[in-house]
Amino acid sequence: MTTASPLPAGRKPLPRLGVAWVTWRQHRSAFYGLLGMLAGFAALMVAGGLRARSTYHRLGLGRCASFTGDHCQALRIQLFDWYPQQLPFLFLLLLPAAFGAFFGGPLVARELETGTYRFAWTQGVGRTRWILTKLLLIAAVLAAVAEAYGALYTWYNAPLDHVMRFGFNDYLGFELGGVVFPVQTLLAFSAGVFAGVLTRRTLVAVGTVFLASSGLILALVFKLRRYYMTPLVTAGRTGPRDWVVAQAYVDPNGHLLGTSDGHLLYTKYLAQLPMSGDPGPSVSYRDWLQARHYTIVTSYHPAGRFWTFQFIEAGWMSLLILLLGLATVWLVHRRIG
Amino acid sequence: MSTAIEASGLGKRYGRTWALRDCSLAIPAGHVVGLVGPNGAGKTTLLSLAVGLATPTTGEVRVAGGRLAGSAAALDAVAFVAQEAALYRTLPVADMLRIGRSLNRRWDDERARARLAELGIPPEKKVGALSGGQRSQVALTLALAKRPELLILDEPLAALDPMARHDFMAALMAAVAEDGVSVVFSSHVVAELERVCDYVVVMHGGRIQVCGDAEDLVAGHHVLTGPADRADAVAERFPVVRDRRAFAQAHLLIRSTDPVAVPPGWQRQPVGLEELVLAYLREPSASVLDGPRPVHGEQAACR
Repeated sequence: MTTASPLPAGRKPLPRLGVAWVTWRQHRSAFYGLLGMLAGFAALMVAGGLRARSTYHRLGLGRCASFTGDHCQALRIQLFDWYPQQLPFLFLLLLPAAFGAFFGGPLVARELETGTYRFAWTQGVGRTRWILTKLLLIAAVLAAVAEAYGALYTWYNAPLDHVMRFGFNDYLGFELGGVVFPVQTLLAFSAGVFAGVLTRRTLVAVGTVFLASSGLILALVFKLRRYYMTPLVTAGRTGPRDWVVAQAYVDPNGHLLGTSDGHLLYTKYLAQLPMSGDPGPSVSYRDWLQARHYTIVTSYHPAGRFWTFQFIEAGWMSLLILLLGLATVWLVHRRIG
Repeated sequence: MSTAIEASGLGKRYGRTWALRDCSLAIPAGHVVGLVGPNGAGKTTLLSLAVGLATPTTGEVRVAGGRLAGSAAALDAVAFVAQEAALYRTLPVADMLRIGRSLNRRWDDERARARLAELGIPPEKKVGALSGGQRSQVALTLALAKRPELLILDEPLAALDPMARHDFMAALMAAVAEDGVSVVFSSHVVAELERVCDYVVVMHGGRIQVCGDAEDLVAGHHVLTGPADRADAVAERFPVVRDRRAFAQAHLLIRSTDPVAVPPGWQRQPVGLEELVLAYLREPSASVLDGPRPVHGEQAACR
């Protein structure tokens, strides 16, 4: 057979998908484990989501246009109570840290620990291509799996979210309803690989990266994310999807009330409420305050900022991912040995 | 003439200690080179630099006919068998072969399979379940399947029992005879050298102490036996590697390429390679490279 070879003599090309096959072979059991967990979660979410939808129809929530009337208010509380407690789903918050640490930490560290890097990095393909292929393939799989988790949860939670109209940062809606979930996973993954290359210890890399990324994500969710943008301030009511970050009271003289004065005010409001069982029109706190010329000042992020926040978080994390990835490739290429 | 390994001013520092210092050598291709020295002499460092696993602190090293160590061209032409084989223990032998095939431009799968069949190593068996001897045979098979120009082995015999050692060296020699591949292997087992090496590099304390063709080295060294009271006078005329005196007799291992230079009243005996290497290992200060009276010729090749 005579084939024209455009390549220089003696230098055949590398096998197509060579490193890809090696990556697959080395990590396929981890991949099956990942898929197994995802399948279990999917089964849970699909079953729960279907039942939620039938409950939604059984309650007749489809006929509620808004939820201002008493009847619809009661129905939506019923649906809310039907949903299991949200607390177990908080494990989803830690999923990116877990996936990232457990897949990223050992990736190079295990090769360094067992000495197999001396085999892997002396083959014709070279270590730069080896690490790049591995990083990109595993990152792609992790991102897809994380996005699948997000989609499943969002679908499962959609009926509740539809009737409750949570603020956009509540009930994992921000974590799982946009693009940040896979990005957080990739951040933990790239940090794991980097830490593994740096420390050359699998356990150290997995442990520190899991703790550090969990801490970072929890801090973001509960403390830091609200500072991505300056909140708007209104004396009126906020919309259903707005994310309320703070409320304060202004007294009739225009002074902002401190926390203790605020509590005092609320105690007064409770004291004047009719005794339980005593029929009578109860007045809402807001109306009660307005009648006394107090104003409620609400700091909030309007619902339209959902995607802005998503892109801010995905943006700085992507930058960090890129830096960690480059540092890892550089360390593997230059520094080790 | 093409070189197997060629280093100039090569040095490697880890933290504050120099594992290898000021190493210059040119090992011609087509040899089986034994790299010997005590533990910590810098053998593994030199080999790591040659296969591109480490980057030099100073100088440079070229392999397989002048390719910069660690470059793509060098990785194609050089095969490496690391200490303790360094294979993926959880994978079956067949998958190790496929990994090798996936990561290399040149790969002789048929021959690798035939070799394993010949050795009676079942391809479905996991690497970790093999004996130490079988594991190093698999590592050698993987290295040879690359069809390298230069095969570098780091302490291939260290973990093997005498039988496995013998089998491994036999397999290695067969491959050399078949392919004409250049081989550099490190070892602290001096006894193996004489049978298999035709070129020797002795290292000590991060420096190269002796380097040369085995035949030339043996021809260039002699044991002179004579009266102890005149030993000092003889020792002044020749570079002495080893000086042993017992009662009235002195045994001097000297370096000289001149066979007629035996002083009157002294006897000259040839020296074996193993004895020669051991003598150098025992005398770190002695060196073929920069002794008091350097022998011509050798200086050009190694320093």
